[in-house]
Amino acid sequence: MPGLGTSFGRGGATTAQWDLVNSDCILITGSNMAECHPIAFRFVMEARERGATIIHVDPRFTRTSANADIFAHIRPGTDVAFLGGLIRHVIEHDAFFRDYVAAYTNAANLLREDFRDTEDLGGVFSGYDDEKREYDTTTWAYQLDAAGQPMRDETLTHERCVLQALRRHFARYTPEVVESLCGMPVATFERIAETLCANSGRDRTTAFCYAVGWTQHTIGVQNIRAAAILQALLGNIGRPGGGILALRGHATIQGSTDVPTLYNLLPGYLPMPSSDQPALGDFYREVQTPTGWWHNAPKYMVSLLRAWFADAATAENDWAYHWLPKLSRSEDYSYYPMFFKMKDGKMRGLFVMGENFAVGGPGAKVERAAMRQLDWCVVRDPFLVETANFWKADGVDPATVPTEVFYMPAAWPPEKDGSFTNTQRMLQWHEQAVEAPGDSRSETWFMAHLGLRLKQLYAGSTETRDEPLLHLTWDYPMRGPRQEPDAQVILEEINGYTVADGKQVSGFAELADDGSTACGCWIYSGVAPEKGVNRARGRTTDEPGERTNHSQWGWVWPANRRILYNRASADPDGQPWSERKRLIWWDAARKQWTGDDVPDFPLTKAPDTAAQPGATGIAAHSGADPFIMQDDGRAWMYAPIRLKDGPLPTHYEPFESPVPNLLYPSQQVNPCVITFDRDDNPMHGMENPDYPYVLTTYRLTEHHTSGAMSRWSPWLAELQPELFCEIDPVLAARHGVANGDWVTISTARASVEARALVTDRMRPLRVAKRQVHVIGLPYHWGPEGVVTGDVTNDLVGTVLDPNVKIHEAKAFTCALRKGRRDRPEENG
Amino acid sequence: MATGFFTDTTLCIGCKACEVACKQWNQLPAEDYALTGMSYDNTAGLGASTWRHVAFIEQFDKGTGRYMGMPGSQAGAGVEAVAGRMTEREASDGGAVFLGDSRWLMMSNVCKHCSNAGCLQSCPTGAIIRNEFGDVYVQPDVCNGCGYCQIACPFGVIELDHHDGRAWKCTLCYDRQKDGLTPACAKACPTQSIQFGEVEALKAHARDRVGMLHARGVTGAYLYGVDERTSVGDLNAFFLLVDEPQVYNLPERPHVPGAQAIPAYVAAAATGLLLGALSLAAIALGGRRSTL
Amino acid sequence: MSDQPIYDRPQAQVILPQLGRGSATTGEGRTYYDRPMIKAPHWKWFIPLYFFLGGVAGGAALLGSLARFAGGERHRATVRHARYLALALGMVSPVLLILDLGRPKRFANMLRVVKVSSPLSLGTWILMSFGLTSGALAARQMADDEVLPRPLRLLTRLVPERLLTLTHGALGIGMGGYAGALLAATAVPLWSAAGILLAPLFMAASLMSGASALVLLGLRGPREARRDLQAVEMIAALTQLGLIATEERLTPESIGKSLREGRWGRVFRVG
Ligand SMILES: Nc1nc2c(c(=O)[nH]1)N[C@H]1C(S)=C(S)[C@@H](COP(=O)(O)OP(=O)(O)OC[C@H]3O[C@@H](n4cnc5c(=O)[nH]c(N)nc54)[C@H](O)[C@@H]3O)O[C@H]1N2
Ligand SMILES: Nc1nc2c(c(=O)[nH]1)N[C@H]1C(S)=C(S)[C@@H](COP(=O)(O)OP(=O)(O)OC[C@H]3O[C@@H](n4cnc5c(=O)[nH]c(N)nc54)[C@H](O)[C@@H]3O)O[C@H]1N2
Ligand code: SF4
Ligand code: SF4
Ligand code: SF4
Ligand code: SF4
Ligand code: SF4
Ligand SMILES: [Mo]
Repeated sequence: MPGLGTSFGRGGATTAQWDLVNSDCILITGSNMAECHPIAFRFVMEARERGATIIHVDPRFTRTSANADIFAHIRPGTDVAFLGGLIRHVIEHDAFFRDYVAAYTNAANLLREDFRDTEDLGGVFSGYDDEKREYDTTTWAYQLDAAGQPMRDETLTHERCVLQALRRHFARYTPEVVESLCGMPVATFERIAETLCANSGRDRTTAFCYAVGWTQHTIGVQNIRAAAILQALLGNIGRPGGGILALRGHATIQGSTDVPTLYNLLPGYLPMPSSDQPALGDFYREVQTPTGWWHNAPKYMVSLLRAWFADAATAENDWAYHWLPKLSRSEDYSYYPMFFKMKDGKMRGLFVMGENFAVGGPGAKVERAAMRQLDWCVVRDPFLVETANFWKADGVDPATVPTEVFYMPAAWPPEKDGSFTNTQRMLQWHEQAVEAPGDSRSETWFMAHLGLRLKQLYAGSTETRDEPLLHLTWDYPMRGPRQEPDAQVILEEINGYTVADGKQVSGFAELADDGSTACGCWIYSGVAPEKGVNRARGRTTDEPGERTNHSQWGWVWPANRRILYNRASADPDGQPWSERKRLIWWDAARKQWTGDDVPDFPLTKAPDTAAQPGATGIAAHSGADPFIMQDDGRAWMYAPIRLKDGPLPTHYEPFESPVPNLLYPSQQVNPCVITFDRDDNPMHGMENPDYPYVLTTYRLTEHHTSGAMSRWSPWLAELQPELFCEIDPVLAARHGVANGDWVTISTARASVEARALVTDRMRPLRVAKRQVHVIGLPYHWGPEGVVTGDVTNDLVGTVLDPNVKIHEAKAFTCALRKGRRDRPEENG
Repeated sequence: MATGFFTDTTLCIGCKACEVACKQWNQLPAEDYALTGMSYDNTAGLGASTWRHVAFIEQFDKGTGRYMGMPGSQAGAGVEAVAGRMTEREASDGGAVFLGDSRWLMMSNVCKHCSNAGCLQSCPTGAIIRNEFGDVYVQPDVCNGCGYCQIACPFGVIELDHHDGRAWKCTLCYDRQKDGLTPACAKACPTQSIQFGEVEALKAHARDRVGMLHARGVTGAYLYGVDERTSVGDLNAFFLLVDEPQVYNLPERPHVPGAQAIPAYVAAAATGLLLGALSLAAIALGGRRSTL
Repeated sequence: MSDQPIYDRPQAQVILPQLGRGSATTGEGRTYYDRPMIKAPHWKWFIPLYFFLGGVAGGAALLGSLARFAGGERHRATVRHARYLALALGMVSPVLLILDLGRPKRFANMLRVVKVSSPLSLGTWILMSFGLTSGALAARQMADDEVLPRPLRLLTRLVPERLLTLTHGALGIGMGGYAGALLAATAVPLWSAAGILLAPLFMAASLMSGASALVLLGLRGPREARRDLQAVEMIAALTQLGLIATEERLTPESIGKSLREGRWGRVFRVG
């Protein structure tokens, strides 16, 4: 998400699935869209029927590839090389959308003279601290003029301008280099490059779809950044049929970052305060940008605190800011470090709600072992999943496990009211259809009643540390014999209201920083604009027609805008770039923006409005700056701030790789990668002869993630009954493995056994003048359920991307041998 | 006016939603839990408890020149997976034999609801009928499990369930149709690979679709089960295929076995009479001989 | 799970299941992962045995009827044997048929309809009628043999013996031939390819086995009668040989294979 957020201003997908039908070309890579997002894929199929060219790039020929017009194999973990090659192609062939790039991106901005590129420094940018493995980003900034404004060269020719910096940075990413890094033939690469260029510009648009094939890498964020640069260059953001569609995972995974379950976020992407921000003013200094939309941050923060602490939050006490927990800058609270802490005995209790990491968590073996060090653990899940049974897994004697486990059965979505926020930032309401059986309860029930009981437990306490709990508003109306909290009321609180009369606000524009409004999550403001109204319930589709955005189906944040940054669908003068790609335009007669979507722009700000240097908020932007969240209103092809591992994407090898980094021999991996040098986390490093093959892990249509929701269903289990690996015929022949044979796949962490599917869909890749074999292994099996199998995730080591601390489960190395795990080799 | 399916394999993404939706709606049991090694197909075929079945055919035979054209693709030139240098190099170092014109076909198979249905003709109890929607329907309350239909179906569809003792196959969601609902499989299909409707309208649409695909260069596309003049007649559930029928486990020229019944009766009777006459002669003549 | 059959890529060309492959309906070539295109019969041993016994009964009944009208005194035993045999087998056959049903209690559903397009339907009706006529004739025979008590003997006088014997003989032809029609009218390639020859073949086999059975039963009877029956056996055997020869020439190699090999091949040859 920082990939998209840094580039365009918001972390969410810039478009919606159904808009793909307007695409002239769709590049799907880093996703197996047909298998993992089959419903969204219908729009790809429809686009194909309307004449679009579908391209799929993947280490495996999948069900998505089967429906593509062009397919290319790629070695896992080399997407920056592939995308960098495309960026180079676009620049060198002058195929970028010049008017768009000049007007809407930071291409013209000049970089400081002391900025040094990876091409100058052998694989790192200026400011790198070898010891700390961190960058000082000072030199990454723009050159500023006397007024403190970034200097620009609108001709895009100045050698320090961003476009020229891009040109130099990617100059060596030639088709031949792409071929030798990615294993993708030059001809195929060029064909893809030409297709993208031919389908971008004034009259045509190309969309990108990606998912976790791009993110689960030590360079995960930079993969997305590379795509963002490419789409900005091609002028494909904010336009119909364009955009970058981040295909999210679970039904409401987008929702779980909007109203976050993350340790470092507050609702609506306000960051979690840290201990060096003791006062609200300190917090604002970091969060509130002078220009751009985030200038409004105090309105959202104060409204949030008012929603949480009501009248106890006052101007005098900084709106109760001191009651918020603060992160320590020196501690890492993220997911993987948490397990290491747990394993080392530094954590005593754990709530697990709707996650089955004993199977689904990369490094699952360590995670199960870590749980066995806990004093207590609560697992809320509809099934008694592996994560609740860790105390009897791995052959340990339960008597030796001190953990007290509380299993709390959870209600399924059809058994409760609530909403999903899907990939396209859309809230869709679901209503309870049946009563949950037995003791199963909804999340809202559990949290609401837990809160009430805690409050009761601490009632009367005079301890300062108990104040936040005691002052928290927790007055949800309960319904029925089970005392279920009313979900609509929760949604209304999230939407926001004016404190004085309790009237709903109609959108975040009405939120104020003076305590007069309360709002649980500012970006959701507008979903419940009146009491009893719930726009997430909307189920009206548009009639099939030329352009449809289904504005009455569900509700999309922000403000029901379906395509983000849609001001960019018009030229700087406010007219559509072309009739064919019309979306939003300036209606001079009515003096407002109009079109087929909710404008992602101030409604009446004319295109010729001049920027006001020195003004605050988006008044500082001109009428032709579409990226309103950004402080400069532009798409960032170069990111002077916000990223830990560089302003531009650079090819680094996966942490475990069978080949050296051909481009930067002295910088094998991401210079800022987060590693854990521990006995329980051995890593293979580069060119390890014991682990010669590349392993990538993924999903199948027939199962869901850890399998908790599919391995227990006979209808799904019979469709993919056993853990298998996909291997190419050459590798199979080398190991004497026939289709269906058992093989054992090993890393320094663990071994798993699987049946071999020997298939032509996998191929050996020619990389760096040698043959590299990629093994594919789904990760849906575990020890329990109707069908069982080894846990793929036991194989994965922990090494993280520095920006979002995501693991590298898509590209690591392994060994393969014929035969089952425990048994002697069958064939000598 | 009959209802049926047009299953367009060029739109299938192999998600198996149809197979699962059918099992769920009809509460059919899972069969067994074993990897077959047949690509992504682990249910192997239609049968008593699998009424929709998705077949997976990996075609990566380079050099046969047989597999031209991606289903539904623009260029119709196959997946341009490997062009030029890579292929040559691989060929020269004897490494991977790979791609070329390659494709992975997927096809959702189902009972054909034949115009001249072998199963219906053969059923001695009248359990199998043509219902008011023009579809071939097994009445579970009548079937006595004689199993004759199982060998009378030229498509290998209907099968006895050995636990239950009766013959089962797709009902074309008779119960849903009676309530004005789309059959479960068609409803679940995300890409309209399965289209449900009135058969004549479907046929018209399907013929157009073939024309469109041909215009796009997918010259291998054709309709299976329509306008083919076989003894089974047109199929209410017909298919758009891009390779020979056998590839999908469909007979090239199906014929309805019941057509052999009358000739067989006549032949049997004739033989019976002839042999009877000869035997009569033997007995009668034998008698005369012995009295001589 | 490890012992499950796996589709074996390298050997794919070699595996040949017994039934339904490379069939006449499909012509040459491989099917989907070499799986049969059609379903195999579910029958275990009931049905083959039923076909056999039904055939014997049919042949015997036909011969019995012929002997009744043309055999004279010499064949009195033949007629008697034929009637008792027909009764015995006519009682066993439906039992076998019923046992084979998935839902035996619903056997009567066979009698809901008369369906010419279904040899099994017609066959069931033939079997039922054959059973009735066999019963009646056997009763009459018992009366004649004086094994029935007097009042019942009188009752059997009501049986229209000549008409019934005629019908019984005709039904015997039906019994002998319909199994062949039943097999011919399936999608099983071997059988359907044999086409209309299959029914005559079964007919001849029925007559032959019927004659053999009567020979066996008549071992202690007059030699002349046996000789007549042996002549019938000869005729039937020669007919069969001729039919088989024609058939083998007509059947494509790929199908014929399973004629000579495999389970059903054996059944076929025994028949
Ligand atoms: N049926 C089904 N649908 C699902 C899920 C499921 O479990 N089952 N899970 C849901 C969830 S939680 C998520 S996050 C999404 C994930 O959706 P996807 O990201 O589409 O799913 P994956 O199968 O993990 O990975 C996608 C593809 O990335 C490829 N890949 C691996 N390494 C690389 C690489 O380095 N570069 C490139 N370009 N590709 C690579 C893999 O071969 C795979 O085909 O799916 C969601 N939808
Ligand atoms: N090797 C490898 N590992 C991976 C990935 C990969 O690509 N490769 N992908 C990663 C990704 S993207 C993801 S998202 C994770 C997924 O990993 P997990 O989230 O651990 O796996 P799930 O099986 O989705 O677990 C969801 C659990 O929630 C329960 N559940 C469902 N509905 C409800 C509900 O309403 N309430 C409650 N309380 N529980 C509910 C389900 O029963 C299930 O146990 O796996 C990650 N792990
Ligand atoms: S499981 Fe749900 S989210 Fe996933 S494709 Fe199906 S409908 Fe969409
Ligand atoms: S003969 Fe076979 S395909 Fe035709 S209707 Fe009957 S079961 Fe279906
Ligand atoms: S098994 Fe049932 S449906 Fe099939 S032929 Fe026999 S009675 Fe009819
Ligand atoms: S029509 Fe109904 S019964 Fe037939 S395959 Fe589809 S879902 Fe199954
Ligand atoms: S539901 Fe549709 S797309 Fe999916 S496998 Fe079935 S026919 Fe194919
Ligand atoms: Mo996910």
